[in-house]
Amino acid sequence: MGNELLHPDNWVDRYSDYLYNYTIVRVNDHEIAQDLISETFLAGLKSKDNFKGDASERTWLISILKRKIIDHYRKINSNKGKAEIRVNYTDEESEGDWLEERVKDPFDRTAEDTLENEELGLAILRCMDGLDERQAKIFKMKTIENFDTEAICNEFNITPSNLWVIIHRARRSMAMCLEKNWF
Amino acid sequence: MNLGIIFKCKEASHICDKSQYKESSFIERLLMRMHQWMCKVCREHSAENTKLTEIIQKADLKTMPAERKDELRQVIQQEISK
Repeated sequence: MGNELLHPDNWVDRYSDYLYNYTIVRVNDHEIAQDLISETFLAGLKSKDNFKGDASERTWLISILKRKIIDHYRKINSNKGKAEIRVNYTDEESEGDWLEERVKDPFDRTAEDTLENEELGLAILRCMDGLDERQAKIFKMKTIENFDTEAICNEFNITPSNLWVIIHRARRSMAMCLEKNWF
Repeated sequence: MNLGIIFKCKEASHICDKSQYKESSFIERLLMRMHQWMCKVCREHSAENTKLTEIIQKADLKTMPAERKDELRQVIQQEISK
């Protein structure tokens, strides 16, 4: 038995955005991503007695989510009848142009960049765990969701100078965490 | 406008934070630069702060819509209290 415990009442605040970013790059659809995450949380609740506490809560939820994503693609494929890989040969001359030759395109860095950006995004979200809950919420609203200073101040009932102090501390600790874990 | 800002690290770093969200004025940035010209610590802090802004932009993070989060919270609460 490990020492980790589950706290389902905090799942949405702590992990929903992390799981969301993880899912979006894999299914490429916001609605589907949201559905898969709610399925993941429900499956997690149902099987919470199986949680041994060896892995972190996040790792455990990700492992459930991975299965949900695979199931999602299985469903799509069985709807189609079968999975297909298509290579379009438009004319006879390109007949020797096999799939393998087409896979590697040294000038196409898009896939690698996407992967790197995803890793980076998840690292940023993990670093937000180091912030306390209110600080993390305010930092996220200001920095990622681009809310106005005024809107955030109203929601949290704080003055702009309170807000800037919170943002300043959050940015310092984010920079230190990313310095350690990313750069 | 208090020109004393030029000599205060705290003020300079506040302007630096505001600049990350494009909320500083031209004059403020000018005063901040003058401060940083003299102050190595603030110069380094500013570089670090700007780098943080850049990588967050690069990561292009998404957040789940607030309504969906509320729905999810309710669903989880219901399941827990069953």
